[in-house]
Amino acid sequence: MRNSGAVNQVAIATSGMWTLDGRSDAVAGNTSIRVGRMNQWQREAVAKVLRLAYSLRQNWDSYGSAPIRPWVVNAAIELIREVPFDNLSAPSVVPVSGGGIQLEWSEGNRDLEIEVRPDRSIEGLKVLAGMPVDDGQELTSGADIEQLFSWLIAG
Amino acid sequence: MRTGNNTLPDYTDPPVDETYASIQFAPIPGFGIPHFGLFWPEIRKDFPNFQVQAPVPSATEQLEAGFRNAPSFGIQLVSSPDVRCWFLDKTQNRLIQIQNDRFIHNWRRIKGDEPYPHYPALRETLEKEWRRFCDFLTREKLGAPQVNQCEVTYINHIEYDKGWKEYSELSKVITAWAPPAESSFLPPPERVNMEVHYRIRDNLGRLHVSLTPAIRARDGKEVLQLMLLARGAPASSSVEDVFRWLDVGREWVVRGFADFTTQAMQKMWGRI
Repeated sequence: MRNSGAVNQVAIATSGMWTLDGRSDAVAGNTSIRVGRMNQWQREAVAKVLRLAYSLRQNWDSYGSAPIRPWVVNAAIELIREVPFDNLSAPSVVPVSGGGIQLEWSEGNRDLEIEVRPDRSIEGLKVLAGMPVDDGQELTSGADIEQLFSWLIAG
Repeated sequence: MRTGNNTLPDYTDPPVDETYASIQFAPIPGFGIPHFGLFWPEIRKDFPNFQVQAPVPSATEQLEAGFRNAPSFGIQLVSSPDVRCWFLDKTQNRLIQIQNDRFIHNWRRIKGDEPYPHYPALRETLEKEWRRFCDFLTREKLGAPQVNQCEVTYINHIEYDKGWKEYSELSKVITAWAPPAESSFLPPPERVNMEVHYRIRDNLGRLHVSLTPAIRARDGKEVLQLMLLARGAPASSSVEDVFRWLDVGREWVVRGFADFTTQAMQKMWGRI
């Protein structure tokens, strides 16, 4: 089932707290993510991202890696919000050396890996039966996100 | 009661996660990035850490006829310099935020079990730091701030499984939400988002109440977030009038919270 919140453009927050309407309300010092308009998998995914982000400290991988950057957290949450499909499972959320996050969805023999990087880029990789389908693609719009997830659920 | 107004409700264990008071003023001509650095030594003993943030847009209550119960939307002008600075105390519980047209004092829970310091202590800190900021502006020949809006906000986190379990039991938390009728066609709601707006007496401003599920960043836990925000214009830019308005705003938040939530929940939060 398609989520009615499909958009044409990815809007990535760079700071602050997202409110009921997706507007930034950055006067608050604490961050809390309003999830009243998110479905179940999106809420689970947001909770995973936040728990991971707030549990990792400098050198979490013993190789001097930075903690997850605030921009990465915000961008990952905004990406989750923009996925235009309701009937997904919550992704696995794993840290990436250097301060990034990778979100991993799995449907049948299809996997979708999206890496949110601290250099403010987002890359998606389609994996079929354990093998990458291509070299991955940089995500720059809501249409890119929709295309990737359409492929995932077509499996 | 530990506040200036002895008739206001108080709680031994309130669900407040954060509170802040904001003083908004006309952009100060000549206030630039170097002034953040010049001001910091004045408060550095109490606020030894800093973070640079993007500025927040100005927000002004429109109280004339034709208002459609919607806070500011659309294009919002952010004044120069395009910077807001957080000055944080050692615990990170308290912070002062300064930008070209705002001065904000926040108290927030970081670990989750810190006792709420209550309004008189927060007011005292805000007044002390506001006076210090105004003195600094005077010394730098930047003039006195022309205050146009004051704001008091309380963000409460009402946890599930403490007095209620799910949205079918929301009437156990919120007085404005009626319990479902026996013959109700609709199933219990999955989730509820609510926004209610009230005009503050004598047209002093507006109280905004919002209720929404939220995931708390520090532990990834989903809670019901009840935010009460009072905003309006003080009678003048004098410190006395600014804090008179903040006291009124705080009273509306506190009384609004008491009206909006049920006595059963208030008992659990230790209403005095």
